[in-house]
Amino acid sequence: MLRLDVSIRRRLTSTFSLEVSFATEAGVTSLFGPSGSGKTSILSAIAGLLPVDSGRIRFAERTWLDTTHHLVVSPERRSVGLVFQDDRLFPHMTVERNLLFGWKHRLDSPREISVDRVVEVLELAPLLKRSPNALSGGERQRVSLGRTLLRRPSLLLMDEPLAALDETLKSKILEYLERVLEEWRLPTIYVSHNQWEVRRLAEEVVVVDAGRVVDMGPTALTLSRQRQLALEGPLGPSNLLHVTHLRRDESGSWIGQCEGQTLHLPEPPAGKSDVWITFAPNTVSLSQTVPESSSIRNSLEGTVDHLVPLRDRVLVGVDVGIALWAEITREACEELQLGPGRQVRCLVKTRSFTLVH
Amino acid sequence: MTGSVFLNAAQREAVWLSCSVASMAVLLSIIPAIALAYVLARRRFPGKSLVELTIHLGLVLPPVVVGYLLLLVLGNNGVVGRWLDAWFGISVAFTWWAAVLAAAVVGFPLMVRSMRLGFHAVDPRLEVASRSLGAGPCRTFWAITLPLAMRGIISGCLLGFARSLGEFGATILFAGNIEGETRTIPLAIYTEIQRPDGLTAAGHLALLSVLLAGAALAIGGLVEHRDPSHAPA
Repeated sequence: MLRLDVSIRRRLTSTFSLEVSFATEAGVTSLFGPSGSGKTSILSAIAGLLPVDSGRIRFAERTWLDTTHHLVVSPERRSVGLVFQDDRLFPHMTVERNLLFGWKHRLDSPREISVDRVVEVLELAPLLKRSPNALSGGERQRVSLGRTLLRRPSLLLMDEPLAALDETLKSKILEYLERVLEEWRLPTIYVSHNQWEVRRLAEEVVVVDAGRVVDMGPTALTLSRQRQLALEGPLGPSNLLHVTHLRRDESGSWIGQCEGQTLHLPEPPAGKSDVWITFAPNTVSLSQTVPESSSIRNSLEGTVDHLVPLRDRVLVGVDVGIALWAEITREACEELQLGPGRQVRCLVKTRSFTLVH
Repeated sequence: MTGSVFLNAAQREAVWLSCSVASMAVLLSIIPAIALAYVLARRRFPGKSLVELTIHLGLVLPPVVVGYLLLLVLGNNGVVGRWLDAWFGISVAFTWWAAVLAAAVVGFPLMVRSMRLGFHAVDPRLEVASRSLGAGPCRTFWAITLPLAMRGIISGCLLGFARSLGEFGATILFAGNIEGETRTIPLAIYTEIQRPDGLTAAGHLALLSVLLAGAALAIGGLVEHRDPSHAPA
């Protein structure tokens, strides 16, 4: 994969300054953190829209910024595509002219992005002749996404593209985003403060707080290390697993694979070969062994990563290939002598799973 | 009366002169006015408030004073006029061009004011989007900023045109009242009034200038109420 190298300093106000340094080669990297932490500023700096005081930005062997050599490549010369929180469609142009605004005929784009294919993947054909004003919020966001793609960028920058949408629209656009990432596999930086989106889309996470990078690494593990997030996140700690290879077993109940382990599932929507499931940490029991006879069908093997003590309970972060939260009582925790490195089994009832589409 | 039952030849000449002077005044001003309006709406620079003050002053200063200042600068003995005469043999004062200049200077602040509001109404985030889509500052201006500010620009031009039609004070001082050259409608009305039997002719001209100015403002109103986002692509 292509490598993005960012190391920048920028004083934003007298009390807030940005001082970040990270590198990533992942397909989708998320800049994750609370609002006001500086995520969007980092993205703007990469795009060249925010001047920095000092630093260096390199992407795929090209230097876009190097203040020691007084090198600043202007935004239009950086091969980035920005997806904004608001769609920013040009109101005086048709959808078609909006889509083609960034298109240049002769361009040594590393990826084949064609107008026809973008229109097809994002289902834009019926909208082409219309004015942006005649579109719904979801349609506008799709056009905006298509317009960015047709600039044929080598790096995609997304600034909370779902934040301005309501819940139902969010899941629809998320599906389109996934299609786009799947189809063109553009290296992507995805800014978000929503752990669900990040877990679903990103392979790696750079956690940003107060203008600094506080942690980074593979998504699930890195997020599970964010204690603040686990305790104060809008949804509280939650588990989100991607289950693939759905099929019926001999007895006719649904099973699927997650990180090489088998899970029993509620009936998935027809025609799906993979689903995402969520379940609350307090529906997870921990055990040292597989119970000989139990009504609980699902048992995931893992290693305790760390413990977060709550008032009378303990949140246990377990690495089962990806991170999983279990919430158990203090007594149970002591009895099982849990600590980092300890092998455990996570037991979850199939009924506790909720499918997300 | 000869030729027309309504206007005589000299009066028709005045109407034609008014239109040509006002059109040329707007044509001369349009590019500097757009540039200044854009800079005032989008940039910060030292001396900006001084420029703003000068423009506001232009709006409220008596046109006669503007005419006097023009004479001082561009008159045949003026600071610049003297050199123009000596080097190029050009004398601006008391010619058709003087009437154009007087109208342009008086109309300019109005044009800038309206165009500036037009630029101000353009969402800067759209300009950022344009830059991020690979358009440089020039293309962004031509493809995004200018079309979206078009309402303000057109209404600025019409206001400038209407104001130029009515120009009297600066014109009579700087361009004089020369029939067929600088005697525009307001000056023709003034001249008719001076004559014992000129009241009717002045009335005709007055009616005509009401119609002309009204037409300019009506077109401006149409443009104003049209949603720019529905403009043809």
